[in-house]
Amino acid sequence: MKTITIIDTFGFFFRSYFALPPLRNSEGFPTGLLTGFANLVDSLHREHRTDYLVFALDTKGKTFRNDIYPEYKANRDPAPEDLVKQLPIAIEWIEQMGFANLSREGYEADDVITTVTKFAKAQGLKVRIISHDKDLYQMIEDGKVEMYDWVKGGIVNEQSCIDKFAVHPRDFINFQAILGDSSDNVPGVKGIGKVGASKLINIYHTLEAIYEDIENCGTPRIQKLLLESKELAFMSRDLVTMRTDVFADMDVESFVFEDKNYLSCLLDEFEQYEMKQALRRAKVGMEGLDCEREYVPSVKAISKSTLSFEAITLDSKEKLASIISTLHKDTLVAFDTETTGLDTKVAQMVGFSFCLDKTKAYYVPIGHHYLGVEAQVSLEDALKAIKVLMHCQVIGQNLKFDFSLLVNQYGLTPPLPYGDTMILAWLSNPSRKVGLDTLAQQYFKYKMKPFKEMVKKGDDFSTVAITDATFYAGEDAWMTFMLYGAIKKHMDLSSLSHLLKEAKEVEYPFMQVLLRMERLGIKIDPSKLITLQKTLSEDLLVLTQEIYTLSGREFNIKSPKQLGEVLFGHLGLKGGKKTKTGYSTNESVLQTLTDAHEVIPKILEYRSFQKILSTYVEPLLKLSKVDKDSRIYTHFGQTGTATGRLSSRDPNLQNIPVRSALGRSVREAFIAKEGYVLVSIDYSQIELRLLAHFSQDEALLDAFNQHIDIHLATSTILFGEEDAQAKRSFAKSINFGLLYGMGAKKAL
Amino acid sequence: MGWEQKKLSEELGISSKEAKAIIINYFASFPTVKSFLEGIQERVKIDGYVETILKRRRIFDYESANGMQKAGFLRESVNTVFQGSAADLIKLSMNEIDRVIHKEKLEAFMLLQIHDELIFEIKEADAEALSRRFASIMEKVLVLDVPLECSVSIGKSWGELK
Repeated sequence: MKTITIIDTFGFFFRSYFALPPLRNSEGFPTGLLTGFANLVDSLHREHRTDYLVFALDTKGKTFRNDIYPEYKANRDPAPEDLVKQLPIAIEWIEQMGFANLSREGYEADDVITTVTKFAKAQGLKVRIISHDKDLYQMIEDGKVEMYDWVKGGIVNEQSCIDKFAVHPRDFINFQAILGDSSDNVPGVKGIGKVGASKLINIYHTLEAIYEDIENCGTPRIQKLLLESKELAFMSRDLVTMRTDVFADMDVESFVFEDKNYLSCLLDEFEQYEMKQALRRAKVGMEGLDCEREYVPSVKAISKSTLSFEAITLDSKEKLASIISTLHKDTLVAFDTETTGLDTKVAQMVGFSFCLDKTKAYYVPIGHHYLGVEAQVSLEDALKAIKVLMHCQVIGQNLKFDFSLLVNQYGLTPPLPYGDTMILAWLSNPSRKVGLDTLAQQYFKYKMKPFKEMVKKGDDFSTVAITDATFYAGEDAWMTFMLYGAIKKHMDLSSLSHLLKEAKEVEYPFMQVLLRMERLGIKIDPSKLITLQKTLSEDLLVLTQEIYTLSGREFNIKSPKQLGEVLFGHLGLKGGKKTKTGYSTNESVLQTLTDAHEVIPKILEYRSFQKILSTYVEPLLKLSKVDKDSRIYTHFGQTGTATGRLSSRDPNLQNIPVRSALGRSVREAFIAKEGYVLVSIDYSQIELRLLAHFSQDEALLDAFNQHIDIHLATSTILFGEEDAQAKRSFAKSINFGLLYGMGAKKAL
Repeated sequence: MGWEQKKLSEELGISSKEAKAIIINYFASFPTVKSFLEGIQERVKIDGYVETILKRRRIFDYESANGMQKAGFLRESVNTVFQGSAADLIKLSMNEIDRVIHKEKLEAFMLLQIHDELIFEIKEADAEALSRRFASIMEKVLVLDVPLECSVSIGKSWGELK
């Protein structure tokens, strides 16, 4: 007996989409559904032999069922974006492999399946329907028609239908007519559930029989329900009854499934989407290719990038003007500056580059200094050109730096960025590196010229020959231009378009806020730091002597190696862990030894004093001295963490210890300017509030909404009214600890 | 749960057994919290990412991670939902406060952000009123199902705050 396999196509795609991991290719395009599809075709060859194959599809728009009942399937959620993207590709692949792809306007795939089943049965074929949809159970007939649940991997026959619903497939439509179906919005008889419906059906089998004998039909309540929904019941049956007349006639021979490797038709596609397993399977039996198309391995896969651009020097006012005059406010301009350093408070612009299309980039030299330097553009003319540029759609890589230079050194007011590739790359995947070199490699397999090759150690960019600088700077602007398009495309493909909006509405304005904060800095009272430096140094001297005395030896306390030898060798303390470089003397090791020897607490104290002195007091003092207002300026990193938290560096002002007295004394050196005060505004328990909001836990919601002490409330719940106050700190620890990692010491 | 247990016992100086009992009791008392936190971790396995309140994503390559990395991912995924969403909220607040300061040319400067906290330099005479106003912007920046609350502290030096 020959077999025909009919695929409930969308049903299969949905099912495999949700069953498989969220695979993506390197461009971020989702490939889970496509992979599932390739697996299906492959297994039809190997495990689930079939003689004929048909794909049944739904069509867009309304079907005859909406004429019966306008609300039919009205409350469906939209399909996930990733799924929708892969659907048209998979459907195209069905055709590319030469399979029958049946659908008809006004009908659902289920009707197509039923019609095909009717014809197939008439020709004596065994029918296997790949679907898990119970709407098709009505067709099950042992020995003739069975269903197959692909994901669960099981045959659905008469017995499985009876096991699941307690009714026989031949009674299924009458059963569904009473039960209804909320996912398809089939009303059924309100108030009667699965058990009630199956009981009725197993006695009466049809709606007609039920209503003929309605006065004997179940309890008075059931009778009432049935009578109230009589019309809806009959209508529901019309909705769930599959049609067998979608096609008037059908030639099964056109559905023949041959013994050949259909996947070989999709070699290019599998390569494009980087589906390695499918590619391997497609290549099986490549000698006699089973597809008309010739397969040529694509160049992309083997060779490295062949991308290139033309670097053009604009070294006169006229040349610069000839390009600048072509710009208008809708021109997309990738912009980058070259400077004498990374601190925009002191750095000078050496030149700037920009790029308007994928083929060339311009460099404008301004401040190169070397013997025999060629023609350059005056700073005045350069700034005029930059002002025009700033009215275009400016994109860049880390524009905060370039903009900060333009404000600090030249008093320009830069616009909101139109796009920043660093921020977009970070939003796409906040755990990955977002430097230009890395991104160029990642998106284009392109290797950027390293800065180190351009500038000798100790020199700055102004010593670089203008021709070399033109390539280097032009490459930056050009690559930024290229990346902007590529990352945006990547975001669209990986269903991240909403983050383009987030970038525009939140991140780019935030960049300007950070820029302002970095410019403002914060005032330091150097005298306080000097005093602190003095006391700490004196304390350290005293501690040093004490440590020498207690350990009976003079050694360099700052050297972990020497310290390890003294503690575990000389003093013979237990619990030393040997590492490659000697004994480990990190804080947690020393903490466990506090009671072992009286020198240990002194060493811990020495360490903490030394740390405050060298990480905060001395560097802050040095920084405050170079500024005329004694202000120090931190640099905020917008893309520095995977969670989205801001980072701060040079100096890091986010990690000065809060709770220790020493930390406080450092903070006392940060003051307000004359006539001003410092103000701190702090979100209280924000993570716990977010937990309440996200989890919708009643107890947490209530506590916050009634402004109750959340830790006490937790403690009461955990330990009871009497112990609540005493064990509040336990509750606090667990509240914070379990939610965002016990590492959050700050909260404790 | 072993990891939390260890940390909690260290932090509170109680035995690991006691810590375990507290954690079990906590999750029994807050079943919704438990299922929510587990839900986040389930999503990581299925979707390979978690999202913050502004729908920023953190991607975890769960499929190709080893056992230790997987455990780390589960912890970081929970952490990211809360820390990342908190970062979103304060970011929105900073944008809004900055806008107000500039629009109204206020004698106030936003200087630092330390995660959930903002430090301003404000003209002494305006300090009370403006800090209340900024706090109120922060509390209303997004409407959640619980109120957001801020504490305000004013001083001559950072050391005097709070």
